[in-house]
Amino acid sequence: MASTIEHIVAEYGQGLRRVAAAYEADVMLQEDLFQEILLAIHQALPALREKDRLAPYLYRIAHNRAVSHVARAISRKKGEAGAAEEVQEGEEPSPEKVMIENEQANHLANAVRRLPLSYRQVVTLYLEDMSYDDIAEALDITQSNVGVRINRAKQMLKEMLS
Amino acid sequence: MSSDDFLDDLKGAWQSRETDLGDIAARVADGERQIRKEKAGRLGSIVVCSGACLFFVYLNWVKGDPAFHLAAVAFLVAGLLAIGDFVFLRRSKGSELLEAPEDVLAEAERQAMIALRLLEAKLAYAVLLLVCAIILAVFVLAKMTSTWNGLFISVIWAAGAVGGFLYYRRKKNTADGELREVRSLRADFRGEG
Repeated sequence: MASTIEHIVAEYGQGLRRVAAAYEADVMLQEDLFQEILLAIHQALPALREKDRLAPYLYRIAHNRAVSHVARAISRKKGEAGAAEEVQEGEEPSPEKVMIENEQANHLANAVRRLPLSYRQVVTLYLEDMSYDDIAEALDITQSNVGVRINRAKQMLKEMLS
Repeated sequence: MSSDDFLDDLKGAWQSRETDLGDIAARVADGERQIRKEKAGRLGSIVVCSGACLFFVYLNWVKGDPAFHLAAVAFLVAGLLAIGDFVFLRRSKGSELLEAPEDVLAEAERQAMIALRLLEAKLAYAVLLLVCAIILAVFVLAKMTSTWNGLFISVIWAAGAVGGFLYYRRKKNTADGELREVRSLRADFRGEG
């Protein structure tokens, strides 16, 4: 099992960074949130080393930290989120294929951020290729509950993305 | 397209978002430094208020001036509020974030409530400080204290009280919003599935 924050980030860093993007639209605030997540994982390393499986607990920490971050951020600047990311990410010129992929990814991230919390959590974990079992463990819910939430979230995402 | 295909197709777009994660060790160290700074700031406030309280107790004892007596009381209350901040306001540690999401949200709500109560106490303190400034001005008029000491301290207190009240009222509005948001997220989390 990975034993240092560097090893953990090498394996799960991009996924954890995407969790930050699922909660925060503003790129600068995403960076702040990602830093908070890294710090929380670093502080929890001794407890994490006792776990049989790392991924569910890493993502549990990330989601738990993101929720409290979002509660603070939203109360500070409710309604402002949304525009910043698209402006900043759109400034960089890139080949057509990359642009289309970026556009799809941004569109998807915006849709995921609009999902209710309970659906957003299961969907982001599912999109990270986690099994129902791992998602259930990460969120402390049953596997059938995971299935119900994913189905409802899929319907909402379909409507948003159509 | 089945529902599963739909989500599985989205995985590619989702996972295509890759970002430069930067120097991880430096980012962790930066975060730890920030926490130490916050803690040092809160401890510093306790030390400053306690020191000022003792200083005015000493001045009151030596000179018997009621202006110093009032100042000692004002700093004593400020010190107690600073202790409240130090004891009750803290970020949750990483290991606490390993708890179930519902428990973490419950703790976040408790913390937001405490922060709100502390801000309400600080607003009340700002009013108390203004009352102290008025009492001190009365002492000056009644020649119960030296004019210079009394006026100097009462003007500083009045300015501090008004500035503090406005500052803490703004922070209280933010804290109100945070508490509402945590409750809404908690209801959101509980209400589904």
